[in-house]
Amino acid sequence: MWIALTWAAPWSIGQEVSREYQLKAVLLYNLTQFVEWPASAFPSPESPFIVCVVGPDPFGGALDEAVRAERSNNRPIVIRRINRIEEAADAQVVFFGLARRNEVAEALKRVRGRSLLTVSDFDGFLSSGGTVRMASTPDRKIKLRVNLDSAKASGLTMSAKLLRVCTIVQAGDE
Amino acid sequence: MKGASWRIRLGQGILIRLGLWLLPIHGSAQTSGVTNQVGEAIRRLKDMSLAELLDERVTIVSKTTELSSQAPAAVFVVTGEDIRRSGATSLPEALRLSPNLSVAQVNSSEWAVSARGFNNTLANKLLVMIDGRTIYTPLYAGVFWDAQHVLLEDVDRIEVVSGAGGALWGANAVNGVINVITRSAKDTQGTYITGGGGSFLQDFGAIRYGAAASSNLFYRVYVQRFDRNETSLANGRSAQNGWDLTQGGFRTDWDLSELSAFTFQGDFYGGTQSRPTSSIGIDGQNLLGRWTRRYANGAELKVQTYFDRTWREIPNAFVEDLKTYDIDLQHQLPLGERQTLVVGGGYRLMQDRITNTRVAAFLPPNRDLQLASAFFQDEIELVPERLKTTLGARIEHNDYSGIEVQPSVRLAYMPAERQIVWAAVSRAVRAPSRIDTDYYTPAPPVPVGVPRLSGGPGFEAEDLLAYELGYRVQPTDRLQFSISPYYNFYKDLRSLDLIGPGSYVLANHYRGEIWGVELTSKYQLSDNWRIQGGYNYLHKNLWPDGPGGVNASVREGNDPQHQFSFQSILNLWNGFQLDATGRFVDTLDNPRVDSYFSIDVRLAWQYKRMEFSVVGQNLYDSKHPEFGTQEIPRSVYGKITWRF
Repeated sequence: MWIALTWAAPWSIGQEVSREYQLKAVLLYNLTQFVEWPASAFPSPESPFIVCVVGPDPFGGALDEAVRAERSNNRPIVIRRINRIEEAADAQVVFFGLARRNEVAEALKRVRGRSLLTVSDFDGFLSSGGTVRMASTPDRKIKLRVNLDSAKASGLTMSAKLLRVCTIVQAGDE
Repeated sequence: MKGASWRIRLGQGILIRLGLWLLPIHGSAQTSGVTNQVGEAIRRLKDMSLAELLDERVTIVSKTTELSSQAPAAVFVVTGEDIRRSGATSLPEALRLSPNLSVAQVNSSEWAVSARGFNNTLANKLLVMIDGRTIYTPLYAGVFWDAQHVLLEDVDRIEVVSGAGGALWGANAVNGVINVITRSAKDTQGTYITGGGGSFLQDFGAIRYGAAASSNLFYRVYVQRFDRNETSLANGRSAQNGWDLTQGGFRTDWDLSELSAFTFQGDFYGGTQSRPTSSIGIDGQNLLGRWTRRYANGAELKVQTYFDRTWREIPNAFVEDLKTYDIDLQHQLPLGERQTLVVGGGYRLMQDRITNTRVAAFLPPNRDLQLASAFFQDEIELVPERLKTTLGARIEHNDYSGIEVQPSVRLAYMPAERQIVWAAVSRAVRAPSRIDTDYYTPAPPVPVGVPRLSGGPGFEAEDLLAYELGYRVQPTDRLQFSISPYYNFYKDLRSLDLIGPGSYVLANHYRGEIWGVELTSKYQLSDNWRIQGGYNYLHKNLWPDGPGGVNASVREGNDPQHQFSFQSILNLWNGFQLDATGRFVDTLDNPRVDSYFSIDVRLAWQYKRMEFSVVGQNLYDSKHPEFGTQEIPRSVYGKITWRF
């Protein structure tokens, strides 16, 4: 699913994110509440819970709003915007924006085995080794698709409540 | 035959030298920020359960930003990554990656680009925009492609719509619309340095630097330069037409508040194209500002204005100095649950100043051309998630043919997830240009007995009624496919009327029909390999409409019946990349150009922040003509890039 058309806007095709990413920001926040990280995922007991957004940030501030004053795994949540996956060394969640889709397979390889929840919203993310994909449906809803093998390999535990509303997929299906 | 000789004069003596470009603009400023309203929206969403969130309909993807997979139009998106992986070194080469376009290199510096037929160096039925700025010459309603460069590294994507777009974009969006969209300054921070050289593209280099001036103000500046070698004539001799171009520019993206943003950008360029006895000079400058304001109810207002100056001296033909001033507004607003209305309008002033010669003349030499327009588009969901219709029209006033109305009706049916079937009926016009009404060759007074050609004072707009169908499907996340058949009926096409011995005038006494089908596909074979491409079939039939009408395909387009193209993007191991693009273009009939197959191959190695690549272009044969008679050579170049 490649995005963008310009059908109606003579000059503004690709912009606006707004509502879609507000919803995705809150879904991302929800993920931090329904997934459990092993203690080894954190450098120290005082470390914050770090969510990284790689590349251009599609949330435009909505994510900061969604996690403001919130905690996950009993730690304050910090949002960090990064350009390279190496900068996510101490993070627990990484979100890949569409603009970085071409680099994603390589980036995922580098973090394989780490206790990192990888999330994105584009096609092929799960088959590249990603864990959760926020897929858009034609009726303009968001579906959560989860690759459980990848979650297990990362040592993450997803709550039953979360799994009930997700579509579980095998990497090869995506 | 005298008519034929005039066609040659018209086509090659003067205008072929014009390399023009046409089109518009486009911006992709990403506005960011949170407002109180956004804060409230987030709080509301956070009060919802997961199940409720997943049942929430996102009324967004601001209707004007439809996912291309849902757009009821024949659209192909070339991404910046596609361009960088293709080895393309110019905008026309990048356009070759869109299978629904026909792109032919005429010589070292000139291209013919069109969609759905009527391709020519003077092609006049396509609208082209760079970041929202229409690149158009009122000389012939086309594009001087040799003056249109962007730093390809900073291109976000190129959206190519084939089919009539007049209702939305206005005159000249007859057979298609091209939007070249560069990345926001926010997304191009850091330094990019590249350079290299080779056999046809002799040397090139570019530097771009981007940074944040504050937390909400981002900028970039760039400069680039190249020298290109000569193409060869049919007899094997050099055409002595090497050329060079230097261009620089900047872009700033400023988030004024959470809900409003401002983009300001500009470019300047200058170049020289050698010719056997003299050389063509070009230079130009442009500035564009765009302000976007969003509202809590989902509405959005945009105001954009730009200035563009372009200058060109073609020795023994003419000198043109064109200044364009343009302002556009657009307001998008939701109407109830099921409708989105977009209304807008614009005004453009083109001050065209020509210095004529004896060979040919535009008379009067100076013209101030005004264009005013207003449009609306209403998208209505008839059956939620299943059926929608889009009604739109643009009304436009130009100085030549007065008021033109361009309506369009589209209907889209989504039978299942990831499938869309659509149909459209549209009218679009190609507004008259200076060559149609003001052109005289040779320049008057013409001695008795010398053949002459002149523009027609009563020249009207060319008129298209387009019927389109489309089906697009994504059977899996990795595969997408589309098929778009169309039937275009044209009337009032340009003709050459014999009005006396050896005396011809341009008029609208031709009609025609073009039908065809476009297939496009993208297929991700594995994590490391993607192929995409397409096939076009086109059938053209033109006939005179009234006495005296003459219109050889040589002037109004020389189009292949079959065209096939593909791109393969493959990541190897250890940072190596092996990419290829290829195309087959069927025979052109008049003048005849043999069919050809061509392939470009790129091998690259990425090591840390460096990238080393070698690109071979037109590798299949030693040289071949693509349009006209000049031969495009097989060539190779090497390139080193450093990003930090």
